[in-house]
Amino acid sequence: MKKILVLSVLLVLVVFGVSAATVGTGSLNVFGLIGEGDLEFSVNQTLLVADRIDLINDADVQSTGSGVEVGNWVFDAENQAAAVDYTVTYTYDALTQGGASPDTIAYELLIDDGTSAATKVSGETTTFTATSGNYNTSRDVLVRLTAAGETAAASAAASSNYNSTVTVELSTL
Amino acid sequence: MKKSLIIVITMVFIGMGLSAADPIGSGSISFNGLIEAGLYFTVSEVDPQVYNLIENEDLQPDGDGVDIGTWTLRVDNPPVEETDYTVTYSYDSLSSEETSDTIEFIILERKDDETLDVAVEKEHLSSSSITISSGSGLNVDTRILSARLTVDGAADALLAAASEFYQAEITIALAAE
Repeated sequence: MKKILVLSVLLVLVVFGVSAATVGTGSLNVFGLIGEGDLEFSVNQTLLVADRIDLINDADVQSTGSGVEVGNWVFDAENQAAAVDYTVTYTYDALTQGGASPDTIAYELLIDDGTSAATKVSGETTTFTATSGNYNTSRDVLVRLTAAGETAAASAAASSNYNSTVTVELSTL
Repeated sequence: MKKSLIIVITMVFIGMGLSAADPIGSGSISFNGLIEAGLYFTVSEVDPQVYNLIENEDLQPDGDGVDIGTWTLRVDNPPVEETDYTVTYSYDSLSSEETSDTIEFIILERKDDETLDVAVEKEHLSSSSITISSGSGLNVDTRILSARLTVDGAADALLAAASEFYQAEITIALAAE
């Protein structure tokens, strides 16, 4: 008789427990943001003016040489919202030494991405696509004389002041 | 009409804005080069041989002289500023270790495109001046050198001891001023 009583009480408790009704409910949202990060483009001179390139005797700067590194550019973007196509344009004139000498010495750029180098004359570009999120890339900038420049140098006036400035500009379309 | 014009102008500006490259950043790199003066000076003997100091007519004081050598100044990359060079001749009389006789001679200098009759006498320690202009281009100056006895040298030769070893060394020095 006692057993029956105990089983009955347990059954009542189980039934009540299973069928407990939800009294109320709600939800919470987590709102986050990531602001668009910095985008940096730097152009750096690596060959100092004190280390002028000998235009006659430096084998690397001749038209068949591997080029001499004069600088580089670095692109670094963080937390970008979307992929963007970028263009880097190189603009420069032939080497001159100023003064009375009319000598001009033509040269070309070699843009090296670490695996291969592409020849660029003034006005030509390098293009790349920066993916969304973080993206960075860089290129070394090398110089070498063209065949015509090499010929011009062979008879050009001696001078320690042959200069040319390469402008490197980053843009989007 | 006005509205249409404004719309067209606005569209042109929008089109230009979309198609023009939008520079984001830029910088510059310098290519600094140099060219050293390419200067070459060579002195060469011409057909070395032993001349008969008495019987060779060209060697006599009124002769044309015999060609003994050349020098060439070549400046591939001239200095930016005009530069003067001096070529100086230094030599003693002909002599031989076998004898005590000395026989005086003189150098005759002419350009490679000139004839013998315009050759200029160059005594010991006399010099020639060459000016290299600042312009670019190859600069080559070649002079041909001849030798002939002076009047005193010819007279001395007539009385000098016989020898096959009469010799004089001529030093030709280039200097930049």
